[in-house]
Amino acid sequence: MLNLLYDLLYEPDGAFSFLRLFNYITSRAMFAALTGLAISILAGQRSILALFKAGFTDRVRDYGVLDISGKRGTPTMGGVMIVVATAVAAFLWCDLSNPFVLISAAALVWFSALGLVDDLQKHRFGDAEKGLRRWPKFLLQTAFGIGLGLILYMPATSPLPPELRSTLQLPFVKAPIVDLGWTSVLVTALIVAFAANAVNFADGLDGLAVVPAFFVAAVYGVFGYVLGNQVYSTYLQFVKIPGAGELAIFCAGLVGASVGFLWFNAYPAEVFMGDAGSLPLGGVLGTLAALLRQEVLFLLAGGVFVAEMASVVLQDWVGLKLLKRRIIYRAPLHHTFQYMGMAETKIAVRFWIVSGLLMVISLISLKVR
Amino acid sequence: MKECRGYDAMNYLLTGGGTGGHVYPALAIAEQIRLVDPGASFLYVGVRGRAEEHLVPVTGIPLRRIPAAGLPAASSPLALARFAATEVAGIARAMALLRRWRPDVIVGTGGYVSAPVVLANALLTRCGVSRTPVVLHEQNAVPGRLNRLAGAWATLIASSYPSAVPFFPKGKAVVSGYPVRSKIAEPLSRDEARRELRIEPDRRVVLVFGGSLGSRSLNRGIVGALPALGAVEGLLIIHATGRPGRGGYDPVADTARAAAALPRPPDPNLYRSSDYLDPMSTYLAAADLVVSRAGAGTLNELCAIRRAGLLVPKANLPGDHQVRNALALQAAGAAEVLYERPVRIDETVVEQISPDELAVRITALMNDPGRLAELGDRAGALATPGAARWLATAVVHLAQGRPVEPVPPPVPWPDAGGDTDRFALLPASALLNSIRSRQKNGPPLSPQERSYLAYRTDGYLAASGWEGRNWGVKLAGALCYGARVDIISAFVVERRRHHRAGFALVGLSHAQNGFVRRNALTALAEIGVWNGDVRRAALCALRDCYFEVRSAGVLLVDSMAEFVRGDGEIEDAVLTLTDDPRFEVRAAALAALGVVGQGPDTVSRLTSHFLDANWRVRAAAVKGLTRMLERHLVSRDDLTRVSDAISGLLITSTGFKPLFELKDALASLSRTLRGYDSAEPAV
Repeated sequence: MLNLLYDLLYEPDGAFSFLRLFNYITSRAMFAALTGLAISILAGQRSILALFKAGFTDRVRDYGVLDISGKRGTPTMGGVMIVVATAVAAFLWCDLSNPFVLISAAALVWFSALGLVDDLQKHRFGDAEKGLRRWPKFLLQTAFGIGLGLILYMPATSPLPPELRSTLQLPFVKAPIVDLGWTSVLVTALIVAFAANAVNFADGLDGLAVVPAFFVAAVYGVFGYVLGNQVYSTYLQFVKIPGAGELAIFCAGLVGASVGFLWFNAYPAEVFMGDAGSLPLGGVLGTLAALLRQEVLFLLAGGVFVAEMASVVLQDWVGLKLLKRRIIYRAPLHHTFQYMGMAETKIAVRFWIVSGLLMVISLISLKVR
Repeated sequence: MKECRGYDAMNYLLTGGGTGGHVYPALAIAEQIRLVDPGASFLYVGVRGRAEEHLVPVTGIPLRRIPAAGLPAASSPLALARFAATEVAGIARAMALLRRWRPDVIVGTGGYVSAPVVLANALLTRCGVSRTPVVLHEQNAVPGRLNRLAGAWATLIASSYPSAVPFFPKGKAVVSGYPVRSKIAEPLSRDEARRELRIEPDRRVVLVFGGSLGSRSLNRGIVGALPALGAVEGLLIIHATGRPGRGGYDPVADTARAAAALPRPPDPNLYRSSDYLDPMSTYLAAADLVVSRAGAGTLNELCAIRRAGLLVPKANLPGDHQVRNALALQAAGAAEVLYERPVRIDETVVEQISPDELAVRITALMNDPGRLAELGDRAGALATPGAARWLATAVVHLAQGRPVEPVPPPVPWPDAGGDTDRFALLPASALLNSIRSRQKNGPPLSPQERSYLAYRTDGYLAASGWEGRNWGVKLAGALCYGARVDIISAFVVERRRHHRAGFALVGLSHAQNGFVRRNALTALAEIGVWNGDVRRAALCALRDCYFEVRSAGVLLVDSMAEFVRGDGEIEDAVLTLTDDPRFEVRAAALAALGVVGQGPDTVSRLTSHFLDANWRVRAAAVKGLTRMLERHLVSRDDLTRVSDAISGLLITSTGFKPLFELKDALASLSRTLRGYDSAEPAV
């Protein structure tokens, strides 16, 4: 919104000439990141106390037999912090008339509403199994994905250039490989639902979901900046997506907010994100992938999430449902490592390293094509 | 014609059937109605080919048949559709019947036939063409599902047991007791009955019967028990086998076959059998002990005639209602219960009674006349001789539109002993939790509770679905049900008879899936019995293709170490598993080696894992060595080797247990708070 100040007040030699900073995407992205970070960190302690007082904690019934190395009693639903900080940062620094920003914000709102309802249900019944049912949850996620897919596919509403409306792009491959036609709607729905659930599964250890999530957000931020930029997109031979640059600012806000959340979520966690955090994080990442038509890139950049999801599919669907036996020790994947005797901190850091590596590989795919 | 009718000579429609237990109460009520309203005309609505076919016509009441069926046990769409079709046809026929015959009151005594009649009447009432009141009688401790449904449209519901009342709409249900026929309500004395049947007064008589259609398990059980029962002095066993019904079971032939299989033909002085006993009430009065099914009718006759009963409830009935009836009597100290055991033979479940157990129970009771008298007296206290009278009056009053008299004070049913009654309502998962919590927090399970839980466990072990069998092994483990280690061991060993070649690779050649095999081994370890079956299961498990089965097998061997020691085959198998690709199995095997390892290279085998990539395997090797030392099995040479090897242990580990001092302090505060006694003076 602050870019409007530039439009209103900027004169090259006037008292407000510093407002030109508010026009550059790069500087606004930096400011957005700082804003998100500052809000998360400054409001964090109070938010955690408020969540605790409101009773949003992992329940403990009897403190006498408390597992003193366990995590019971930690406030949850801290994902609200990420969502609010991201929203404020985006509101302040993005161009609010930009369709990419509006769609991302819609994803943020939709999925955090879904996550909040889920968490509140669990809280009301005092049972982690009593959240939203699996199918309604999946349908609501897919509903957003299909809506998004239709908007991107239909010429009247699509903010994308015509050659990207229904095509599939692969990382490390120059031209779009195939025109999917209307099935691109399904691909969009699939990636959104996949990302939301995968981040949800990964959210099991302190700092495990949030760090890989902001690495992926960073990747899409850079891609947004490059794809929206005339010079870079021409140089790197991408199809330019006018207006996608604003996504860099949105992503920067998200990264800042997430880092601020990590401040409190780092082991031993003072707060968990809950579904109110993991669903919007995943949903927004999936939406970003679809908006930039880099859906397959998510499988690379978000490889950690893919592995978590794959482990669940293997264990629950192939093992439990089909063969009636376990295939890997435990699912999702991080529990396998825990079962093998690895400390939580070690698993988290190793997952961060892997996702950092994947981020680098993803960024290489900008040039190596 | 029916236009001008006084208060008397009403039309009474009776319905209820399938088994005698549902028909007799209706007839008992009719008998009493005749006394109150001599001009009464009756119509009985029943199903073709069931007990009402021969019980009703002899009383002179005309019988009409309508289509009806019980709710299918399995919820397959086809069975449900067939049930719905039958039900619709039944309701249509019942509606036509009601319009034509225009009863003044409907008396339903359950069994699935009464539901369509009550529903048809409810529909007619909705349409405004009928205002016929409906009286339902529920005989069982737990109402069937169709009776519960019909209860919503009944005017008055009378039940035998207080436990059935909460299943019906509030305010409609009362406890009236069970209406028994006058012949039984005023029984002969034992001596009169024996004189009539020409039985010597000093004989000790056991009456065995499994209902009019016979009970296979009871028939085979009692015949099998005969050799052992021959030792009881003065015993006379009167056995009614039952008559062949439509179910395909021929009780007469089956019993004869079982008797022929005995080493010696039964002594006619000990054992008399016939297909049907008439009059049953006289035989009941002549008996000292009655061994029978636990249908509501039989039980109430037992109570009315004040006889001791050894009840063998039929398993796997809807709602398990025979078991619940039997439990209610057992809790009142009015009968003993012997459970049948469902066994799976070639994919079909067959209920069996152990002849040995039956003989032991009968012998024990017959040698304890005091106990027999106590059971009989307690049963007599539960009798409700006025129930038929009260019900008949209530029915007549409703037909005449007069208010119903208040119920006579109910029989004081004692509180069920222990948790058995609560257990009967629980599904397997909750059952398991309650066993665990009773083991943890007490009080310990009573013999009655244990035998009921064992019966439930047997049912699960014989289940056709793997989930059922899975619960079965878990329950057996929790109960330490040693008598079933043969079945549980077989779960680990069994292979499918037919399977495709590739299946063996993914472990699909086993008859039981991985979870059942794993949990069976865990149960065996908990039960703690070691015999040939268990040994074979353990050996099989140690070579299983599923890693969790292998490690559960090792844990079984570990917990049975005292029996296993010196068993070279098992020790070799455990040794092989110390190099298993799965760390979990390696760790379990190394720890187990510490208690079962006898060979000279055990120590070097353990120390050779001091550099394993997984610290939990290293920890298990250390534990194994510690256990070796504790057994004083380590030679001097080995001792130096161990102390040398210790420095070669890779000491780093990727796991640790954090200690949060705040949580520690809080836990200690909470513990103090709970143990705090304000009465104690402060120091």
